[in-house]
Amino acid sequence: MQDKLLDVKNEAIAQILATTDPKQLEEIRVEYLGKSKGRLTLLMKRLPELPPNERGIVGRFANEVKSSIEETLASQEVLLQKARIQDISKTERIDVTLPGIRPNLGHLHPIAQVLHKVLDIFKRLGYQVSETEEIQTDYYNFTSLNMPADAPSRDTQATFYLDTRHSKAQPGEWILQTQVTSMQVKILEKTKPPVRVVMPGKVYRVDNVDPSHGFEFWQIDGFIVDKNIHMTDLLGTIEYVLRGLYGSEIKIRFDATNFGFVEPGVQAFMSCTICKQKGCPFCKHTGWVEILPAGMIHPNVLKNAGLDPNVWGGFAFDLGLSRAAVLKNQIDDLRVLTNPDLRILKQF
Amino acid sequence: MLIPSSWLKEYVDIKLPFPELALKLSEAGLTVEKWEEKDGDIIFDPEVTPNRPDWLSLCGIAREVAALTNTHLKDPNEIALNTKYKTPKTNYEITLKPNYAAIPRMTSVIVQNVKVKPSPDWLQKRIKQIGLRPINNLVDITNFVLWTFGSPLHVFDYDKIRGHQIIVDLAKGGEPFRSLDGLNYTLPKNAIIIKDVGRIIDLPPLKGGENSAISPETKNVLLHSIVCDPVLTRRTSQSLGLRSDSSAISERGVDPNGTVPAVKLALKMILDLAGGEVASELLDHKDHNFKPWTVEMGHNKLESVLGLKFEPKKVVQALVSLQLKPNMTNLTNKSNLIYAVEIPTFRPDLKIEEDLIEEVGRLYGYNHFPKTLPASPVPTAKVAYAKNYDFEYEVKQILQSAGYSEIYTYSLVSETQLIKLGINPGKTLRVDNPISRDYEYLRPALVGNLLDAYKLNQANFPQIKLFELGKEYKGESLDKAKEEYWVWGIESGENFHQAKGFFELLLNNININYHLRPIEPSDHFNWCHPGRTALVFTGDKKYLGFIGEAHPSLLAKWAIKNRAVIWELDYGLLEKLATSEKKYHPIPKYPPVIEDLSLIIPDDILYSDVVSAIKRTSLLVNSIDLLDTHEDSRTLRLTYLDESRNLSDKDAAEIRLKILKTLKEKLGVKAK
Repeated sequence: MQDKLLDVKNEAIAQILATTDPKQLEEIRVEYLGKSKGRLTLLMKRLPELPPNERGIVGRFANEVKSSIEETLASQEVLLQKARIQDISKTERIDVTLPGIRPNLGHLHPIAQVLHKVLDIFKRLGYQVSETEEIQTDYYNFTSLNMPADAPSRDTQATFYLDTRHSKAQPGEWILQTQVTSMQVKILEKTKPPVRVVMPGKVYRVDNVDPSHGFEFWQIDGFIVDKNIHMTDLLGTIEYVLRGLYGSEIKIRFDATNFGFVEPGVQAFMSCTICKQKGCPFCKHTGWVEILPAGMIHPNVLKNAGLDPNVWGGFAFDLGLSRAAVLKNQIDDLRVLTNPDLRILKQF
Repeated sequence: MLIPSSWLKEYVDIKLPFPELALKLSEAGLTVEKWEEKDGDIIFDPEVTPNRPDWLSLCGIAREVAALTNTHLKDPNEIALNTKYKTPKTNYEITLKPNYAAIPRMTSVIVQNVKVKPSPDWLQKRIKQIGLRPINNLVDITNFVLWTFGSPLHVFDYDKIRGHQIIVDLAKGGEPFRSLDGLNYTLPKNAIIIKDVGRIIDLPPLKGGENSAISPETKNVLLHSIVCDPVLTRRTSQSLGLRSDSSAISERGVDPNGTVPAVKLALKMILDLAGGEVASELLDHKDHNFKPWTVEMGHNKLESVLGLKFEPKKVVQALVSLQLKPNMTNLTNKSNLIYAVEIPTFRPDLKIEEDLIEEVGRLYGYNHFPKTLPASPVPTAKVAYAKNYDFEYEVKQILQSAGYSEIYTYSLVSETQLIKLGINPGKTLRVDNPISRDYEYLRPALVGNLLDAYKLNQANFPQIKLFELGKEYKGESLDKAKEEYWVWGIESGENFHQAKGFFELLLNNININYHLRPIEPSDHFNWCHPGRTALVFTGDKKYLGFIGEAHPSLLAKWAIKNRAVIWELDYGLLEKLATSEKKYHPIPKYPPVIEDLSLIIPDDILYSDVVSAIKRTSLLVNSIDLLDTHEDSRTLRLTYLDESRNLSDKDAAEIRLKILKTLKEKLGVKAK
């Protein structure tokens, strides 16, 4: 019996040590130690047949055989594992320079992206967001904003008039908004100050289409009406917004200017992000781009909204979103924004 | 308007070199971005804001340069007013009939025995520098004086004025007028006109008349400088599409006290360069005496609006440098200090306190202002017309993660597009003055532009997925106009269920209850495939959108070769119904029983009918998913769950039997 056990042990160990495949180790385990038909298991099942005085010794020997087979199996497994891991750099190598398989993600339009960013900045400053109709009355778009009929200040905003057929409206009464500031008095009529609001929207002007002009473009205007609002607050707000959008390294310059609905008025310029002030067609080789006209709200506008200009004051500003998107992404032509070519869209 | 700096130097000392001066003027509101060096002279082209008539003249710009750079100003007004005016020896006959509503001031003089000839070289040079063509001495003089003072002038051939009458009037509308450059116009109503006996001889300040124009033979002339009503001028100018240097100034408001110096300077130049003698008194017709007015500015208000502290002395200095005349009520007490500022008539833009505050602010220079943020607390009350852009961005991000790329297209579309879509242009909102026929109507649906975009990309991309979220302009006429937000998508191929999967993802994400049914002929959906389209409704049966293969005939109209799936969603409704609330459900305490059923479903039975039949069978059916489709059979994975106990195999078998029985009896669906 002991001889048989010894044979089993030697054969098993020889077989184990000769194995190179981890799967074979499992087969060997079954062959010798399998619960029902393992060669060692079968021998051990015959232990009770031995005379009682031999049982103890042979039994102990059988257990030693079992554990040495098990240990050898385990150590061989570790050995094989190690060998395999050592080899995987060769056996399992893949070409990592092949292109990745990308999830099929779409692209948001550059205007949507810049709008999201701008709104985020204004939210931090406590602004809410409003929007009204693009089809607007001449009154809200111009007259209420201190730009009465026949004012030369309307010249820069050549206007689309709505066809009035089959309607009670007078020709010239309804227009496509030329500026989103057209919402200012409407909002103030229905919101008690203090108020801080930004209004994104599409505006329309009769203009030819070229790299820096179009007849439809996006703006975001905003205003504050409150007590004790100063010009310095306006300049600080503009700086905060432009730096938030374009980074702290940009330079900002303010020129006095005139818009009907503000007094005093300023025009904010930003160092050209396209040419880094080296001069390019987009900044007309001045190194500066007009980015944000603004000013203190004209007392007539407050009066038109039913507010007492001796009590309330504020500022208003207008950021050209199309322009902002162009500058943000170094696009040299406004027409790119309305071109739905995926070769363009996929860049954003 | 071109300004030669050598000419400007005749009125003001210029100490700053040019790029700096341009920047300084721009900072103060007179934008100078364009200039050119020519023959040692710098000629610049300022952009003048619509509130400043005075900046459309050398005098006005000289005043600004003097104020900004603190240099000496030679007031050309004084030069002109000091011109000796000789009493005429003869007085030519003339009758002037003013109309002060049209021309509030008109200053005229007659000169006899002039010689019309080319201007001397120095004058021709000036005229060329400002971008005009030298004509003859008389015309060149009027342009020279216009540039100097900003006062429009005109010379008539005195002998051509019938009856020696100058009658100011307004056109009735429809009158013909032939200008001195030989062009014919039909006058609009209320155009300012000057007539003699029976004829229109001038259309001020836009064009002189051919019938009264000077010629080489002209001997006697009537010269006048006029102030035209800004509104009437602007309307006529717009109506005729006609602009001139004189009309640009007139629209902004000519200095009513500028006509006398202008006529005097022009007269002096005529006598010098064309000879002749004065043949009339200086005939000055004016509505009233145009006096300076006073605007008050409180020191407190100044500091409060600008957010800066000022020394009253500096404020006064700034105002004086602009030729304004401030008088103080109380210099010792700053808080009650009021500046009563006399405004000269050449500054019609200064009307209210804020206008003066701007003058102080812009001279100080906004680039020297400190920068602050509003100190008051953030308002919390909800603003009117609030719009939820957070939600919009959320929807767009879901679209983006589903592989859709966003496009922004024009709201204005062509009639051709409407007709291709089967939309009646007569019942679509339209602009009266489109820039071209391509952009005439307000799009009543986004689909046309989306198909355009698809077509544009089909050559370059085998797989296309595009969306646009934007306004559609509904209503048959302006009275019923309504702007609605919709979102439209298009994707290549015929994988309806892939697009539908996106719908399910989106609507689940924003917690919207919906149901969906196949399209029926009575739905009148011409843009979609009649057998491959579903309509989507909200829980309370409002139309939410559709999803379907684009109709082959629609694709054919756009010359799109492959099949495509299109969809629309009422974004306004989405925004209204969406919630971001998520309700937590605890993980079930008892394990579910999961089993797969393979069913053979007859052709006329919808999957949704099978699902609702199963759901109605037992409350223990927790979820039903489609696992697989193979030829005529579909494999459904059912999950049974009882929240209160373990389900046994026997329980599951009972449910299954009940389900199969119901399906067979009600729908003819059999187990495979």
